[in-house]
Amino acid sequence: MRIKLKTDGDIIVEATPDIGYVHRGCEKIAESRNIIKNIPMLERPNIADSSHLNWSYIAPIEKLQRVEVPERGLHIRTMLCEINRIASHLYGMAIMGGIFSGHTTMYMFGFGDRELLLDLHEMLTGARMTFSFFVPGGVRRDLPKGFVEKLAQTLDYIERHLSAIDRVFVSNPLFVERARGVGILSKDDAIKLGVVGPVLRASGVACDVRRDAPYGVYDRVDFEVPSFKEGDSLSRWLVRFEEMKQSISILRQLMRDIPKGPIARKSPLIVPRGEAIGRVESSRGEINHYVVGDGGDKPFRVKMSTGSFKNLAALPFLLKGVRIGDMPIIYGSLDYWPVEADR
Amino acid sequence: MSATPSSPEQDIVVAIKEQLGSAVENVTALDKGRISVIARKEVARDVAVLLQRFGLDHTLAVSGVDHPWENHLDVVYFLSSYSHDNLKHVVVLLKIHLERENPSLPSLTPIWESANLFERETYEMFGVNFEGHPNLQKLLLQDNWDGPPPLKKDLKIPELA
Repeated sequence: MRIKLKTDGDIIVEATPDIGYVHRGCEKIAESRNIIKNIPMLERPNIADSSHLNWSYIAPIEKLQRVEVPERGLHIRTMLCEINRIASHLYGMAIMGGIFSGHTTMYMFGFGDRELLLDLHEMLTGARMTFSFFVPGGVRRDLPKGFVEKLAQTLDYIERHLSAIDRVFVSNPLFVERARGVGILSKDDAIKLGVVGPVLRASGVACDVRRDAPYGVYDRVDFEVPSFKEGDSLSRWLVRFEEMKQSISILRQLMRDIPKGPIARKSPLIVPRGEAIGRVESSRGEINHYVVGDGGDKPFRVKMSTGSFKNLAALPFLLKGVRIGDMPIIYGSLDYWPVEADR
Repeated sequence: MSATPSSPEQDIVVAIKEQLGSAVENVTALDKGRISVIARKEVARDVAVLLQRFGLDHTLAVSGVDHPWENHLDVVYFLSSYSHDNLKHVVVLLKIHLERENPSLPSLTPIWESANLFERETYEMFGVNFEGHPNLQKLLLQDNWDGPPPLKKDLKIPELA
């Protein structure tokens, strides 16, 4: 993407994001492929957060097929999504937080810790990113031997290291002074612009699909929805930082009692006639896939609506009237993923 | 898949019907947390104002669906709420049937600012002219694209056949 700026000296008068540079026509291609073959393509738009895109695409298809995912399958899905959420937030903090605020240590910390979570991804799904792990009816593989033990160890380490990230980056006076009060999005504006995810919750709207319209096993775990009133760049990072702690807590609850039974049920390889919409809370906010079926093995129409695309509405709004030097901090705090927006 | 008569969805359906009066033909509960509202193009904006007053304060997406064999093109607005607790789990599908040739519709961006980029996308992908949109320009396609709107079923891509 590029951002066209009109400035008056150092002050931005108007910012126009120009997106579409990585548009691949996913929705058009999806109409010509079998529903299963669509899975790898439709999760590619966000490789750091692919499990959520995967789930959001599968959920409406399962609804149309009237296939119920067995409890153990839902449990494994929820676990993978939460591991993925921590990894994605670390990635965001490394690139968008660390690099854009010139903080090299955060960049190294984020990528170093994320590596351990990618090992967990690999152990469970066989891939470090873009797992294509959820299929209609369940998941592709059961939990491997020793996975839970390794997960417990990794979570202990990540939890310890989050306090180092807190000390070095999140509570670092240099970063705090740089990000506090910069790019303020008020509660009313956040609702009006329809932003989602951490951007929304940093503006005082404590909405999270995991709690408001639970899917998977989120209705059976205890977690808080962190939110802040300030609506500035700093609180957007604080929301992500607190969410990682919540994800660790969710994973520990899930590890405690994993239901026994099958991981998947058989599902037909067609999309029955009808329409359904999926709602999944990804790391960058709510993702929706709207699937229209006509009874064939290909979807008649797939509409993807991703977190980054919805949060893009906030960018020109936030950049208006600020100094050019504040632009990287504001852009970074949205944790914008261009491919996810362009599809 | 329709919800049972006493479900919370039915209560919302009744409330929406009361709010909208005779402006729409069809309000139904599709499924748990999913409600469909079908409106005619002429009253689309009035319906939108009433739905917004009802508490649906933002759009989750706006999508076109091309039905060449039934000879119409649908524009679907997906609405939900951040400010009303009883509506947070609900997605309302506001569906408007349009003609396939030169489809046009009054823009709902003045009512829901969050529909702005989605309407631009629907404009370039389906050729729907949103009257009164503040900035109806191409969004994702390259500037020199002069083919038909790509997501209409008329456009066949040989490599994908």
